Amino acid sequence: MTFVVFYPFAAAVCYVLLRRDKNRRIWSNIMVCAGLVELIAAICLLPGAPSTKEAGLFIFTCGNYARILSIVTAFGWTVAALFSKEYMKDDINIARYDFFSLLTLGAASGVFLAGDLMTLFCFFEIMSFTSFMWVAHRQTRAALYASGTYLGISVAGGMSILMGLFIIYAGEGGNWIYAAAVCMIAGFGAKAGAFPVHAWLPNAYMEAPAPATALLSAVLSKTGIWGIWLLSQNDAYCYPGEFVLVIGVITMVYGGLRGVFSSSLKVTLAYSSMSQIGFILTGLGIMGIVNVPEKEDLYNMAVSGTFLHMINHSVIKLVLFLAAGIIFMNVGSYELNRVRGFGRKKPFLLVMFFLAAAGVGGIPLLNGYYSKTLLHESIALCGAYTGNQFIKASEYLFLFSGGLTAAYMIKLFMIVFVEKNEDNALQSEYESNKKYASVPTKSAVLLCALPIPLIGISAIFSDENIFSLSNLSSALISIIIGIIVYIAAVRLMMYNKKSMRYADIFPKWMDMEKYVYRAVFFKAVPFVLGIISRVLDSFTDMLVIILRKTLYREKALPYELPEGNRITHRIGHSMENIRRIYYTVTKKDYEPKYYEHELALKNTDFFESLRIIERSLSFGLLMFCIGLLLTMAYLLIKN
Amino acid sequence: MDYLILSPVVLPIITGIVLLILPQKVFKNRKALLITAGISVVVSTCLTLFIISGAVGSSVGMFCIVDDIRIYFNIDDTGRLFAATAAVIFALTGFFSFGYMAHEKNEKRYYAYYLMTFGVLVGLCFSGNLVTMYMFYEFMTIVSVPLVLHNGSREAVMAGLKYLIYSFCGSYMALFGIYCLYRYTDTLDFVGHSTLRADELVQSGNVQLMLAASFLMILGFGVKAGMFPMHAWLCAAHPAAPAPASAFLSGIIVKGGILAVIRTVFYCIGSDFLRGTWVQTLWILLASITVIMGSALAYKERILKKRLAYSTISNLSYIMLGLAFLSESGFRGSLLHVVFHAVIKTALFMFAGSVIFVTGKVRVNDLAGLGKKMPMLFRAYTVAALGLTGIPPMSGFVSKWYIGLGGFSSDIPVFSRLGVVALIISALLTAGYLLPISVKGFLADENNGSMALHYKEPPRIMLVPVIVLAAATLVLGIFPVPLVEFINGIILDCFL
Repeated sequence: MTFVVFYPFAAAVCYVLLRRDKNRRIWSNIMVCAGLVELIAAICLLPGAPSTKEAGLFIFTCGNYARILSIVTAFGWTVAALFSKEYMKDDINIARYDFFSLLTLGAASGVFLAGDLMTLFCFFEIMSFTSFMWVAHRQTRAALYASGTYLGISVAGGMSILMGLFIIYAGEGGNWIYAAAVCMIAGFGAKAGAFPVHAWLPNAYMEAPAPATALLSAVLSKTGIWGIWLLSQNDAYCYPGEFVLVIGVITMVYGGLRGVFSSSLKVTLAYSSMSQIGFILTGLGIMGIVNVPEKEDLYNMAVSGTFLHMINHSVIKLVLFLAAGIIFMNVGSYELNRVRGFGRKKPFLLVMFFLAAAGVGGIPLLNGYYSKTLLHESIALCGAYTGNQFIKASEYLFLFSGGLTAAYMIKLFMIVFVEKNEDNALQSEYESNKKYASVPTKSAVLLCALPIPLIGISAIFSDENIFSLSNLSSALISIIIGIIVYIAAVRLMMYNKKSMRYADIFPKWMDMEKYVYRAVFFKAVPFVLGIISRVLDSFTDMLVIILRKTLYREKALPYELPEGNRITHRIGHSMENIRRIYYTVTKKDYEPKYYEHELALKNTDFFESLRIIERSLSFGLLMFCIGLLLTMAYLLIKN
Repeated sequence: MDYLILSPVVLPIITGIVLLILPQKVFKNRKALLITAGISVVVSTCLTLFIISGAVGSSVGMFCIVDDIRIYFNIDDTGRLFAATAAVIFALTGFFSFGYMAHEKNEKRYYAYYLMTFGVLVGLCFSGNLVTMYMFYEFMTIVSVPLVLHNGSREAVMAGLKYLIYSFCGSYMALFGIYCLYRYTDTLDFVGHSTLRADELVQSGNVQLMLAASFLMILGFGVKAGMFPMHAWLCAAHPAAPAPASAFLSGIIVKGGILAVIRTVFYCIGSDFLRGTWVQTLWILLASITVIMGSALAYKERILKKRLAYSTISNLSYIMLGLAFLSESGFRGSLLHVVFHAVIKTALFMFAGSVIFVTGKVRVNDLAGLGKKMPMLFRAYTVAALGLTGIPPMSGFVSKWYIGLGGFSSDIPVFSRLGVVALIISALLTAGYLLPISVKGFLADENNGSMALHYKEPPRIMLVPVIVLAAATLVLGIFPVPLVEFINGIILDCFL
């Protein structure tokens, strides 16, 4: 088990030490092999009972779900490496990309196999930072912008989780434990892409290279989900199911709407990811609500639905993002108007894309139908069980979001594979392009697409009646909603018949990333904190300055006055000032009268005459008389 | 034979004085001076490490000042931890300055004071009672001022004066506390637990006075540790010094204040006496304020060295906060952070110094695209920056983890929880002011085109210490267990 986690780290170190820039092909093959080793190691974990292992500070456990997820991780990573062989062959900084990919692989495995929250957190943080390099890989201005937001939200999410961990590890009770749960859900939700902490998602998905985006969506979003999942599995953590449900429903609907309204292939897929994460979160919420002994069946159904949707979403998003990568490789853009008509007369691409789109859209006999039916059933039963109006409403919202999913998938499929490009020359170029992808690339997509029908067909053998009439009809409802939304939103609102182009109709000012997160967290909060801190910072210095201006004023040393003494100086100065004020008030021209000087002269005169008197004989006699009088008075009183 | 433990104190000081006295022309060229200084640095470091690895618990009492107040040295585990950290950082910073000081004047004076500061610092770590410690504390202020003043600019002189005034204010506050403590303790020696005669204190009705005295001592020694409201000297003095001196000041000298607080609170007054009192509340509050204030100011600061100085203020208050919780976990986190912060902050200041040395750039925004020219330096910086932010598996995470846990096991319910929140917010800001430098350094394109072609990695003597420290950040984070065990030993002493 420790091998699965630490082998990629060791491989990364070896890779970066040995790698030379020659022989790119060999090194890309080595990367695929590295992935295969990890995949085999992960599969080797499958037999045997769940076990726990300690490695230093870390504790690893392989439960059943964790083992499957780590296989999916290794599988997705290997496929992405296979795909990168062609996709990244002329890219810059391949060594850096591969190095951080390997690290991310190890960290993601660590997250899934973590045995306690501390281990989970450590690997989660490592993963956040190594995957940062995926987003920033292209080093363009846009990539830096996206990666900046990604980094910010990752760090904030990590710290939020850390806060939750502090509370849990300190063994707090009462309201604190709820605060811990909310903190941790916020942190993990940020990585998953839950509303409202999804703001990084569209741009980051857009800027990362296609195989990295596929992994971001297929693996990294699942690590966030996995964190919340673990929270829900332990009764000690007071898992707030209702809260997760609300978040999930909002994410589901919001992601779906943005997906429909987007005019870029990859952004649509990114919001699709978000929307599917919403489905999973909804399932997690239901899991929390029905986690009571008497509803064990329902709980198990919610668990299997949620988990299956996690796997399904991973597989489907791998196919979709890799297919989008193939299109980008040839067209050089994700703009819907540019890629329009690219898929015509390309049967392989069409089949793959159709499988994935139909899978996520919930067509029976494909995997998405299976998991969505389970989720839908459990929401419906949960609504009936609790009688809560919101849960009942969320059942309808669930169907509506399923419709939105169908709508944007129909949109993509129609545009890429059915419609023709407005530019006829480009269209004919697209149609004649038969060597649009190499064999490894195609096999990578094919490998990912295989599980879609397999899982879908396996639903026949499940215990629940998946293909019952009511389930089929709710699938049908979703698809009908999807077609209606497609016609209303895409054909009527987005498509401009005159210019024959699709326009992005989502208002620009509703950009949460730019106007909420960046504005608030990168600008406003530091600004306010900065002002407060500046005041505090200069507190002591200001105190010193105030003291120096008042109590401890810096006076010149007592100096010799040129004439007169202190008293005459003060009085004269004051009189001069009074006179000046008087003249100012009466608005006359001020003529100095030099009171100080005059007083000083008077003073000198006075003391001069005093001194003369002192030295005179009469003064001596006077003093003698006074002394005599005093003596007599004393004698008189004494007697 | 016990007098041998004084050798790491005396030797650097004497070497420093000799260097000061010797006329410049004794050293025919720079190389001769460097060899002399280098040998002194290496010998002092080795001697210190040798003494603290061998002579545990040996003590030496010198003459008495008055009655029963004597100059007394004793080596215990706390002192060993601080001295070992100081010695390692001292050696690495020493090597770094051999490269860096090439473009500064008056090198001889710098090395002289640098050596003397180290000797005094080791004396501070080895001090066996409060009075000896106070004496070395004052010495430390005095001998480190010339490091701040070094380049003689007006800014540096003003910063040096500010440093002096603040430090002395703090010392006098502490001195008052020492008077009070002398009256109500059995001994001022550090015997490993509280020596306060609490019963007598209660009978005499002077509990509040003693609390006030304790607070003044914390505040007074906290001046060196840059705690609000007496922190303003730090962000002026540290950036004014040459880069290696700022590294040593920010990494090690400020820890002298921390050590003094530990000695006062945990060895003399005793944590039980302060637990739950207004002193603890106020202490936590001031430390929390400093934590956020330092980070927020660092976030807004544009000059790299000043930014790092503000970051030091914030991080020292992590340590103060951990101590203020008066819980085992917080104490453990604090001592860990003493070591980790010393390592990381030294690396960061060395990074700033290297960049100044090679390019002369001091502003953060000018560093964009520089990572491509000096990749090793920026990689080391990135590791250190992640460490300071507290991202696992870097070392900063371990200390933050224990401090955070300490906050939840403290007896002041509201403020200590808020202290932990402050810690988290500060970590976010730390990421905000450190990470963009490496992101922009590596990834931003040189759009202004002014980036000179000849910029390359700094000389090896400057690069290697940075890399060693960055590696230490990582290694200490992955294998913190031996250090934690060592600190647990100290905790057994202090929390009985």
